[in-house]
Amino acid sequence: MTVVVDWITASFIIVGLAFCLIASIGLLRMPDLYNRMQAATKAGTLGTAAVITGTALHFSTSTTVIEAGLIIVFFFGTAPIASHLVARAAYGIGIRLDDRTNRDDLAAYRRKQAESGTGSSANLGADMQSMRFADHTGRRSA
Amino acid sequence: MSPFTGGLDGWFFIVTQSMIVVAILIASFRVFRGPSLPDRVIALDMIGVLSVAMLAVFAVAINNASLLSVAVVAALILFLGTAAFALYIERRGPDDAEKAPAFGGEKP
Repeated sequence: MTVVVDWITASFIIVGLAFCLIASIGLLRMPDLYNRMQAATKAGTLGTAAVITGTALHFSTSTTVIEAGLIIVFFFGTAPIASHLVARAAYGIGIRLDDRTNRDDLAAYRRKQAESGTGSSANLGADMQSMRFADHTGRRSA
Repeated sequence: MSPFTGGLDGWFFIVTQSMIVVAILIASFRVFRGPSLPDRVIALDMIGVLSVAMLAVFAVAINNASLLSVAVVAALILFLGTAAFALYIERRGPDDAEKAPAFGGEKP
């Protein structure tokens, strides 16, 4: 019986590590920052969650299961927030999307801002700040 | 026969740790090469996630559950580090390698 549980544990861990390895390969091969980010975040989080699930199966005590659940909840809660923060900051400082990207919802806004002369490429971060406030009120505060 | 019989010398530990090490090497290649700072931050985040997985695998291989507490703390610190890096990127603005992209404008 324990041998069966051990094999289930080992398969969980190996499948999760395969996901992590694929996430790293995506980090290497994807064309621009935003694609790399979604590869690393989604596949890496899922793979680590599978590894932690295997660990919880292996020990099967109450404290271990609680700790493993904490790790999984932390990862599933914080990894999207962290990658969203980095993506917003990267877009704000002007990291380009790949040329094959066919949809950029913020591009029209940025073009209008550049034409009106309020935005210069020197302080894209500050423009991003004002854009964030504009989202709250529905119109530009400045 | 259990896959964990060899302990640190068994095939399970060798295979899993070498998978993690290969993944960390690939991610650290992106850390060194990444054309912009957010690329490096994302790759560092990936390395942190992989090190949490490495801690979990090590806990299984040496059959010691107390290493999972370390993994909990590492997962927390990892998020704080990435969030702080994001705020720093936003405040710093573009550096020379990332300058003048001009969204919607002409390509350089």
